[in-house]
Amino acid sequence: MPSLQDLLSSLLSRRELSECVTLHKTIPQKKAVEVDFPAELGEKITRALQSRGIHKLYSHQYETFRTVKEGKNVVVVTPTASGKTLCYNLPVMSRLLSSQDARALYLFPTKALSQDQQAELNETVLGADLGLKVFTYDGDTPSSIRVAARDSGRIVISNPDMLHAGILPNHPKWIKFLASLQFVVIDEIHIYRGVFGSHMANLIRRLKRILAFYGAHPVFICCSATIGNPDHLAETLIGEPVTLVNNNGAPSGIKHLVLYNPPLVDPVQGIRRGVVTESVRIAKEFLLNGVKTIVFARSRVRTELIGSYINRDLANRYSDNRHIRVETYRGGYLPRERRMIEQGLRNGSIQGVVSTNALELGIDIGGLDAAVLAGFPGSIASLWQQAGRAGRRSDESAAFMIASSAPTDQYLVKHPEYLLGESPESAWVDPDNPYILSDHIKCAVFEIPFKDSETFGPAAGEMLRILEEEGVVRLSGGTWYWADRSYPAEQISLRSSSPENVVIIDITGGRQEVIGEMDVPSAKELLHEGAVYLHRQDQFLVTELDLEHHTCRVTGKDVNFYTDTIVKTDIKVLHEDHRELTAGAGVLLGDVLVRTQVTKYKKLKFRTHENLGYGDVFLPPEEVHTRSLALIFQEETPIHKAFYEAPEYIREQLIGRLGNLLIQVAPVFLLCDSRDLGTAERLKDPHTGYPTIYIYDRAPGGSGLSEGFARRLEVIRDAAAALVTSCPCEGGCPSCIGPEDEKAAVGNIKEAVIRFFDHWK
Amino acid sequence: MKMGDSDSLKSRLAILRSLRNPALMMENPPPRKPSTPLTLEGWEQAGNAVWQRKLSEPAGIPDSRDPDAILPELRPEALRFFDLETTGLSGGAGTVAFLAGVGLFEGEKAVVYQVFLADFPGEREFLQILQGLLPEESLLVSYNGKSFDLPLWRTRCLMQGLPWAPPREHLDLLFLSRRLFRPLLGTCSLGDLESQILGIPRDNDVPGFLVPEVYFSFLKTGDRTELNRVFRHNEQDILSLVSLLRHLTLLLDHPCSADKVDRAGLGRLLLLNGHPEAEGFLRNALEAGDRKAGSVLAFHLKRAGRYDEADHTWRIIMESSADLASAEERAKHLEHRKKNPEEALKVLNEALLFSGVDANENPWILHRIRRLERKISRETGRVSPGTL
Repeated sequence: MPSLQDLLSSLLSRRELSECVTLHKTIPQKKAVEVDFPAELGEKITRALQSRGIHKLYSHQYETFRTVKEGKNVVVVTPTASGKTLCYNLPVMSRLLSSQDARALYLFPTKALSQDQQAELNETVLGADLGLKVFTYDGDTPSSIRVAARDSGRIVISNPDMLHAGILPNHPKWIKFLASLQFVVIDEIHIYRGVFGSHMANLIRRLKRILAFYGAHPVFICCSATIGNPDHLAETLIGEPVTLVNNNGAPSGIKHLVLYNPPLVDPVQGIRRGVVTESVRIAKEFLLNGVKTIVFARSRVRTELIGSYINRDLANRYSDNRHIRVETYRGGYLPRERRMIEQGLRNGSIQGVVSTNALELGIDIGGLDAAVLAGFPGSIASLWQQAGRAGRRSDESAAFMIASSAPTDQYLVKHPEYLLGESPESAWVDPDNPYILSDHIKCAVFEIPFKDSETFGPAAGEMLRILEEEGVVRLSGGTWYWADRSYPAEQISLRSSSPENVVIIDITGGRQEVIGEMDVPSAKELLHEGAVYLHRQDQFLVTELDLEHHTCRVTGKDVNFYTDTIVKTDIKVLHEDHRELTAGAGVLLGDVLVRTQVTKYKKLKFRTHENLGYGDVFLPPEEVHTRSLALIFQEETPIHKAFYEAPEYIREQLIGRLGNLLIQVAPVFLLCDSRDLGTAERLKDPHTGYPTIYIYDRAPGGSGLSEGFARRLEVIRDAAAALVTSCPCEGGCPSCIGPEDEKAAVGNIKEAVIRFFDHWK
Repeated sequence: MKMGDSDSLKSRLAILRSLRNPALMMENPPPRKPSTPLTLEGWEQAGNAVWQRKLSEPAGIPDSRDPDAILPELRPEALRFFDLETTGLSGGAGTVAFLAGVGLFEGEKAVVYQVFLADFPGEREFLQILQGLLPEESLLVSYNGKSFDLPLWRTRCLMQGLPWAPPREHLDLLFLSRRLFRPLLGTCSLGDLESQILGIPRDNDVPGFLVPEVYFSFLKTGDRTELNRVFRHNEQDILSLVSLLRHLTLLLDHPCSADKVDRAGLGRLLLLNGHPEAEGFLRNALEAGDRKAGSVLAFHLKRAGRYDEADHTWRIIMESSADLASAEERAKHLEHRKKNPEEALKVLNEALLFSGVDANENPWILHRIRRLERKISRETGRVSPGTL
């Protein structure tokens, strides 16, 4: 087998490939920065580490250890494979060993991650015979173990949802644990941004309030992937100063980053070869040369397609597929299947994996040598995370990003300097978002009555008075009490997606076997009757989708096509609360219904992706009742004038770009994530009668973002204008109005946008 | 109205809440409770917002002349019948007990003490009075107290920073009642036992799930009419506990006179406590056709090493039904102790045949049959192809 270096040179010397490469950057290898074990680590831990072949600490592990020892909160920024778990386990375990009462809470964003973590901890803890009891406490924990976890767990591993609805409302049961809690570890804090971050910040406020009641003041240890503002994010989430540790001392081998633009098949229309086909091609080159490879795809269906194409191409019964095993991985597989694939990747029995972003981080799958990104993953931070999955500490590795035909992909691949120069996105959180704050104040007052003078972030009094009118709290003798029979945490979900999943049952030949699951909105798109459900290279035909009972029956069947749905989204104003003229535009605030309806599905032939026909889908629409702002280009307003200054042929594009621009700018001012907002642009809106841009909260019921948007419209408008005016790009880029679309160019759209802002004042 | 000011926030929140929870939309904000001082007829004020009363109600003492080991030694003067009314049924730190009922015997008379929390700030005194009514050396009698009332009481003390010293002995009648009545009634709430076992009627009762609403409505409006029904409800619960304990004691003392009870459950209980009439009771039950009781007896005999008697009992059971579990027990006995695999096989095959069930749905029976067949063929010197 050739070395990766040789393989890359030979690949890139082939003309048909080299022509498509727009960037090949070699990131030099980095030597380890190591430190001797500090004496305070203690002999037990030192020996345990040595028995695992670890004889020194990386600089960032040491610095985290030292900072935590000083009693300071810390956020450590850890790229993949940099020994993250030791960063928090060392200070925690050394204290837990020296102080018999001390306890620690580990919070991971998802259940899957906490199980993975417990496996690792048990290995460390048991292997070293440290004798520390570690328990996972989540929805799947049997009640017999729950008692043991509460009473004797030294480390309890859980997730925010369980802390919110299970632990905090029942804190008296946890008194022993909470009263001696010395550490709270929050892993993957970059996940907690936008609305989810607001929930998390308030959840931590509740936790700290209860801990103060029991006299505990733990140190917080946070871990973050590389983002623009890890320290600021950590401080917002835990409401305390945090020390940043980002001197990653882990070594890394030489890394190659290659940007690849598939060749044009129709230069006149600008049509390129598909991202799926090209990703399969590149991944095969690696796999056939013995390079362990991960392919990241942007959707579940693409993951399955790429996986099955690779496997079919490699299929050879005489050589047992050349001993190359490639698996697919995504949410919705059975936990057992996922564990098996993770394990196969770690022990080397699986050489290739095709995954959604489910494998982007967190889950330990060992080292891989090459990453193929089938399309830009949507953010710079994700791109580096996915690319970082390839690369062990010493060996050489390569990451290929295959551009799709989407404008952003095309821009990046043609302007690699943008990709290299742009820092990863920042994460914004508004801990005082009134909607979310009020939800958590309800939970907090249930947990411990509020003194009238108490604060909860901001002063709690005003919010409590509003809740009193709702009748759920009662002020008596200077203290606020919960005065409702309900259990508030039960009615408040930290995540906007519904927790209910459709269970997929294979009924082939009278079988009744659960093979997977899927959330309800996705099920409507992927599991409608007649859909082809792809599951680990197997094809199933959906025979029945029963949304009432959350079940879907499928039968195994080999067909030569897969299905894709046509989804229509529309927005309907249900109730206008308020209309006014602000910032030179008509502004409406109200309740809207965002309706997503799957109307038809296409049958697409495998490989060629040609359309074999349509089918109808009869499913109730997915309806989200939420809050929205409408920016109305009504007569006699500057925005109206600005819009009609633009030539007619460009207006449709113009209004679309404006919506995109506004939600790119807004997160900084609203402290949210751009994914928390949705937009709909209409040239002539049936409700207002004018060109209109809707900007709505994606969280059901609203989360205060559209109100915030309305309040800060002028600032956001000016920031958007400044951004696009000062952007050095020529005709638009992902940082401003979105890149030029090579297939639908209508003159210089960027100039049109700048002129528009000149008039909208 | 300017966007974003406090009024707007308030109205937005209100509309949003009502969208999430339509029930809230129907009620307007309740009027504040009038500030006239609260009076409760027949109650005596025991603290800032705590009231107390004593109800004298005639009731007999549970028959405890022949204290059965099943019930910890019953000392009538030590008994404390206990029940809490709370602001929610889900538990958790925000669920508060606002009414406590404690029944006890004063001489020949059962009396009920009630402590009422008229507003949250009085909770500390409420808990102190309650502790006084339930001294550590008393014997607590409750219905589901182990999982509900006691943990809640403990949580409340913890939240108020008070020491918690519950009675050292606790008899939760739910567990006994479940064994004895659930197979019969299908359910086992105190209300069901009252109407179907004890014959106590309840009229004009507040259903348990409405109790929190009544209390909150009292807090908001000061209206006590509905509250009185809750007081009665709690009193009735305590008196039912007294009746239930008496009924259980009688049942365990004189099992053979029992009517309306799950005989297998009662028999198991009697055996567990070495009651001299236990076996006789179960044997009678089996003769009367109760195979479940018979099976309890058979397993008891087996455990005691009285194998032949056990086998005999299983045979009686199987005379009236091709019970697979009994057949399996008989087969084990015949094969291992009687060294008669042929007979064991016969018992199984017949049971399978007469029961009419699909052998494939009972893989363990099938497995045993296969094994017996192999054993027999080995012993008769033939080699069964299945063993190769």
